[in-house]
Amino acid sequence: MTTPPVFDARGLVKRYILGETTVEALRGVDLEVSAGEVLVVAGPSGSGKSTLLHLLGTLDEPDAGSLTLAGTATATMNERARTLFRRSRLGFVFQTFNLLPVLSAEENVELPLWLAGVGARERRERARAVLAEVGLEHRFGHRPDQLSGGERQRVAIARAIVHRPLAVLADEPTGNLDSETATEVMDLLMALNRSRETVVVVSTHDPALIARAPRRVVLRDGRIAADTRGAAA
Amino acid sequence: MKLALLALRNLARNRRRTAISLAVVATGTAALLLTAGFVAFSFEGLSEAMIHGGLGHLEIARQSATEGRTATLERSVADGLDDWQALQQQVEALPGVLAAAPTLHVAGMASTAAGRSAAFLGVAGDPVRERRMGFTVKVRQGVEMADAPPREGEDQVLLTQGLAQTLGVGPGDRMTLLAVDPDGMLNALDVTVAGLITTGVQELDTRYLRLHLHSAQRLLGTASASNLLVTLDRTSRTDEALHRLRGVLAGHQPPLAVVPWTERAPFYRQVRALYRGIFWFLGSIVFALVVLATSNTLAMAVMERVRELGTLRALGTSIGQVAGLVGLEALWLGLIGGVLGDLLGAALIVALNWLNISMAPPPGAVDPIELRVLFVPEAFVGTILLMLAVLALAAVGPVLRVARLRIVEALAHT
Amino acid sequence: MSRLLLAIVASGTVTLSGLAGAQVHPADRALLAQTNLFSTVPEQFHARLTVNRTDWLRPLQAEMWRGGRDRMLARVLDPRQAGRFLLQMGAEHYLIAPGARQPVKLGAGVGAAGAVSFEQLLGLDVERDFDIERAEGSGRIVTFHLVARPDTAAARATPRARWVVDRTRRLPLRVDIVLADGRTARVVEFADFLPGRDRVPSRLVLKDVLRGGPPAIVEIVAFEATPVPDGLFSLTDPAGRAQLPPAEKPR
Ligand SMILES: Nc1ncnc2c1ncn2[C@@H]1O[C@H](COP(=O)(O)OP(=O)(O)O)[C@@H](O)[C@H]1O
Ligand SMILES: [Mg+2]
Repeated sequence: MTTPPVFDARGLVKRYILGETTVEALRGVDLEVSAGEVLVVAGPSGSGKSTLLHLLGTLDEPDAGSLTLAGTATATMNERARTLFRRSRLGFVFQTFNLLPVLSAEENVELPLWLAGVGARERRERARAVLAEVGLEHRFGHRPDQLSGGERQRVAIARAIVHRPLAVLADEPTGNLDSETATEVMDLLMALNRSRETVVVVSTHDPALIARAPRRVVLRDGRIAADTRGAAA
Repeated sequence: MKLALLALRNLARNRRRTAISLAVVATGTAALLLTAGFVAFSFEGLSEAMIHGGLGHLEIARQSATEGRTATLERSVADGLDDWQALQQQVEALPGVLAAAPTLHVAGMASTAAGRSAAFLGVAGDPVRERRMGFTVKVRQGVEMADAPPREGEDQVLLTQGLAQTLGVGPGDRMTLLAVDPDGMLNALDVTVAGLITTGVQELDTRYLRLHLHSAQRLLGTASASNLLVTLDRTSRTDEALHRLRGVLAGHQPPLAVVPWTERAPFYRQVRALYRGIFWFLGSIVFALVVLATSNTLAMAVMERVRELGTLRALGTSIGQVAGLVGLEALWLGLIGGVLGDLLGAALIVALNWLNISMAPPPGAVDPIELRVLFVPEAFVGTILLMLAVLALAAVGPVLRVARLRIVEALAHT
Repeated sequence: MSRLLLAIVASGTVTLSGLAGAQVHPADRALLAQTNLFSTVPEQFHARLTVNRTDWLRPLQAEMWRGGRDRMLARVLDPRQAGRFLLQMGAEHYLIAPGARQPVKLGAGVGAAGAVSFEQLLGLDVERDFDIERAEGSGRIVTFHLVARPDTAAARATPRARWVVDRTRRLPLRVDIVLADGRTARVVEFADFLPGRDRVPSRLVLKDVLRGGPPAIVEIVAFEATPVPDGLFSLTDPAGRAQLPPAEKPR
């Protein structure tokens, strides 16, 4: 197999300086994620899940260690290159959905395609297809504030995958959802992974969700405490 | 394109705040339009008053009479136009020329039988021509002077009120004018005061009088005229006519000068500079106020949306695009506010003109003037451009802020 | 030119008689009386004269009549000036013009506007209007410093004058018209006198000191001490003047 891993992290360290004290959010994380994998990053609050996802998503830079994304070292990428990488190869899902309130569901989903320079007609077709795929064919024209939390997160998921990224990074995507909806959203993410071979990295501290994951990386105090595959025991 | 649309939609989010910003921009725009309209009115009024008060649009005189001279009511008859009638025909045949009227300037002493005397500055002309030229000499008391050339012994004058007061005469009274002819000899002419007038300029009202061209020629023992005053159908054609006339009269002997009214009008440059100054002063105030008011709301709008902007950045929107989004919001404010301001300004102009407000006479003038505010098309476009500039300036801070946004922090922003 | 013309009229009428002043030597006072053109020039005469300036195209031709100590009439010999006269009656002077029914009394303002003010000169009736301030010079040339008596026409127009005479020849040489602020405004030089006639100037040089410019030369080309009809000087009846021959230029 000559295909490089989608994420290849070596000894990632991230520190936050808060006045006098320095918080070591990540203390040397090694992680390799291959194409098509689904990965849940688990761990208690404050263990460094968000920080890891930010680094993987090139939203922030590590203080030490290296990260290679689909064969490209992030250290060699400038601001512009990272922006373009995110635009074309990554999708993001946030705990707070982060949809643009002034855009309809369809328009929110079109956004990555617009950034990629896709024509209007194709944008609409693809956005609608993806929205249908996440079960929102009846909500194209609705604004985020007209949608329920679960619906909003589905729109966000549609937005994260519409441009067929290599990987979707979802930081506590179910954190603001009730457990039933959370399960639906989690199932949706996994279904998308199966249909598209898109890497999905989900952080959560919900045991019910962790249990359903094919690969689980457990963080504790900024270190990987466990990295297990297969159905949970 | 879509960015612009997105920016526009963002404006609709906080309607109250947007409405206030738009109101600020529109009010500023309207204020500038009113100022521009009023300044234009004042200036145009002044210009037309000067042109139709006796300056004409263009003056044709001997070059030697005009050189180095600013006092344009004292063109020596010794330097006059002997062939003014031929010139008049030639000039009046040109397109756009309403009329070319001879005037003869005569300065001297006026005295009365009662022994009162005063220096006068007389301008003689052809009443028929001047009427055609739209020269308006409002007779306050008495009558206009007769159109026809006066017979010997029937010469008339129109006196300015101040001069009449000094001399203690009124309509119907007789007096004697004394002047030095082109040979340098004194001559005298009995005249009857037909009526009293005002020049509209206080300073001139103490010594100015008008008489018939023939009377002045009789007094000066000449058949010449000091100059020909040319009026055009439109003031805006002055430059065009100036060049054409200069071309037509190029070969004339003795050499002639064609002088536009702007060079002859007293204080024209100062007045124009003053009006410009007023406009720019008010303009800067409006500019500053609008910048202050809108930069604040723009900054607030950015602060409120930090997480949203961070999200956009996470999704792969470039710094330029995000900054552009904020900048475009500002420009939309400028554009919409400017257009609204244009509409508001237009409505106010119509309303003000409809009210027929009259104002105290400006310094140096005699009559009250009726307030008018003109539509200045350039100002309508200019204010919108200005507001775009204003908002662009106001957006500098917020745009820089957005450009420096750190994604992770922005996403964590609540 | 009219101003110049009247300046000539005036120069013939300047009088220096009747001067008072305790400090003035009787011999000087006698000298003044002897050089007083106002008395030495015949009371009745007719004269023709020319006025020229280097910057004029042609000289001005004029004629004048004196009809009594204090009356003078002048006109320019040019058809374009037909009917126009300048008339002096005592301290007053008038313009007579065909366009004006009455002679127009010329006020101080008219002369004040001009370079060589005829009325200022006409007003120089020092017999009536001036006092000797002092006399200067013990040799051949004597200068009389004159001050106008207050409240006279002369005082307004000519506050001061310097009257310069040749003691030996008993002839006036020059008069300087001095303004209130001490500046010399104009100078009239009596350059020559008629041969065989006592103290009748035949050539005058008029200089405008304030304004500069070339001097005007006045020459008496004909002089005849002859009775002059009273009618020429009437303020009310133009008939006497109407009988004069037309104002043609002499060949
Ligand atoms: N911007 C920040 N500034 C300071 N400390 C931070 C910041 N972000 C995270 N941390 C700290 O880093 C550690 C890891 O945080 P985080 O990655 O958010 O954990 P998790 O997502 O697992 O809750 C925590 O101790 C947290 O307080
Ligand atoms: Mg977290």
